[in-house]
Amino acid sequence: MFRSVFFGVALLAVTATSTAQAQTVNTPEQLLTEFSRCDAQFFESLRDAQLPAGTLRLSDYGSVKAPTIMSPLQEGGTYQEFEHPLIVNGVRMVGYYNQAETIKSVGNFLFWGFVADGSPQEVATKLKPLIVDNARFVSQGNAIARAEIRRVGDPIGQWRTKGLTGPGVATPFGFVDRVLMVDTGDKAPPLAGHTTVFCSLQGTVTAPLLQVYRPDLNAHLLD
Amino acid sequence: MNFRWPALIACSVILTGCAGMQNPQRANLAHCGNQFKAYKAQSYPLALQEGDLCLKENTLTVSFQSLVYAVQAETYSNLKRFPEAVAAKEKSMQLAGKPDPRANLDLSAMYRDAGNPKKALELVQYNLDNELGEAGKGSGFHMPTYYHLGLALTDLGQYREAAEAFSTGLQRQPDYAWGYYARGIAYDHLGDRADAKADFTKFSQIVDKKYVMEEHKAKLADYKIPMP
Repeated sequence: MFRSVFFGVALLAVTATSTAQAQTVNTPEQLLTEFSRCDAQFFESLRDAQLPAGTLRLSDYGSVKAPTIMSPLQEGGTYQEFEHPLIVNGVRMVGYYNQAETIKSVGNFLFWGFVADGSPQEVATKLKPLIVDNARFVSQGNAIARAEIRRVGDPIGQWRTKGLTGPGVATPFGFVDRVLMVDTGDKAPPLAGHTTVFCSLQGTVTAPLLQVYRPDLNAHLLD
Repeated sequence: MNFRWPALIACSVILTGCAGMQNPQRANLAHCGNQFKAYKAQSYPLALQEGDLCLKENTLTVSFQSLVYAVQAETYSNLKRFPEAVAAKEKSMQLAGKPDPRANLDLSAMYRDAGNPKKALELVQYNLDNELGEAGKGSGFHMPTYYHLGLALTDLGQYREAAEAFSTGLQRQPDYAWGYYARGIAYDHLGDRADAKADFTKFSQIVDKKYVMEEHKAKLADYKIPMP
C-alpha cells in the first residue's frame, strides 16, 4: 500500500555536501572554489587563509572567520568595500555583502557573496573553471546560476537537483532553495553598476540548517 | 492522543442506540457500542473483547469495520501492545480504501512505538511525496506532519534533521508546546544545551501541565528548569 521510504530520493538526483575538512586557502582562486560550495567550508577556510593584504577584512564569528560587516539585518550595514580589489582569475572583486531578511508568508532569505567589476557573462566565464559542480552552472536569463533544493527532513547535507522551483517562483513551504548566482547588481548603491557573485538560501531556512551552513551567523537571527 | 474523535463520536451515537435491545441482531450490534464505551472508560481489555465480538457476530459495512479496527488499534496502543496496534490500524486503513493522511501519521506513531522508526518515516514521507497535507491533497503541511517527521527522525538518530522538522512545524504553530519539547530533545542529543534549554523553558511556560509526565519533568530538572 505504501511506497518505499526513498520514493522521492530514488527519482531525484542528489548532491551531497562534501564533509571533507576545509583546505588551506593560499590563493584567491582557491577561496572562490571554497565559496562556490555555498556552505560552511568558505567560512572555515577563512580561518587560516593566506590572502593578499588589503583585500578582505576578516572578523571572528564563533569558530570561523568571515568578511567583516556591521550586520546582515541592518540596511547600510551589510557591505564591505575592499581597500584593494581581490583579483580572482582576472575578475576584480571590489567588495563583499551579507544580507538576511524575512518576508512574511514567503520565508527567509540569505544572500552572501562578492561584488565584481565586469558584466555577468564575463565574470561567469572567468570564474566557471573554479566553481564546484560547474556543469550545472548555467545561464538562466541574464544570470548564470547553479540551483538545488532540499526538502525539510532530507539528510542535512543532501540537495536535490531535480524538481527545482525556477527563477521568480517562491520556494514552497517546507523546502529550501540554494543558489550560486552571477547576476547584475541591484540598482541601488553599493551594488549598482556591478556584478554580484553570490550564494543564497531561500525558503524554510531554520536555525538548525543555519548552524550547519552559516556558522558565521547567529543561527537565530531570523527567528 | 492521535485518535480521530469526531468519527468515533459519530460511531458511538449510532451504536449506543442499539445497546440493551433484545433482538439478537441488535444485541450483537451492542458489542460495537460496548467497545467504544469501554474504550472511553479506559477498560481496554473489555474494549478489545467487545470489539472482537462486534466484528465476529455482525456483518458490518466496510466503513463500519474500519472504525471498529481503528478503536482496536488505539486500544492496543494504550495497552502498549504495539505490533497488534499496527496490525489493527493497517486493517482499518485497508478497509477505508482511500489514502488518509492523518491515519498515516497515526500509523507512523504506532510504528515508532513498535520500534520501527524507518517505517514510521516512510509513512510521513509518503504524505510529503504525494502532497497529502493533513486536510487532504494539496492542503499544505502543518505541525502534525512536521512533528511526526521530527519524531521519526529523532528515533533514527537524525537529530539535526529532526530539529529542522520541528522548527518548520513551529513556524506554522508556534504555540505547540510539544514541538519545543521535542526540538529540545533533538538539540540535547546534538550537545547544544543552550538551544535545548531555551526550548525546554518555552515548553515549561506554555504546556498544559496535566499532560506532563515524570520523564518530561526529569528532563526539565536536568536543565534546572522549574515547572511554573
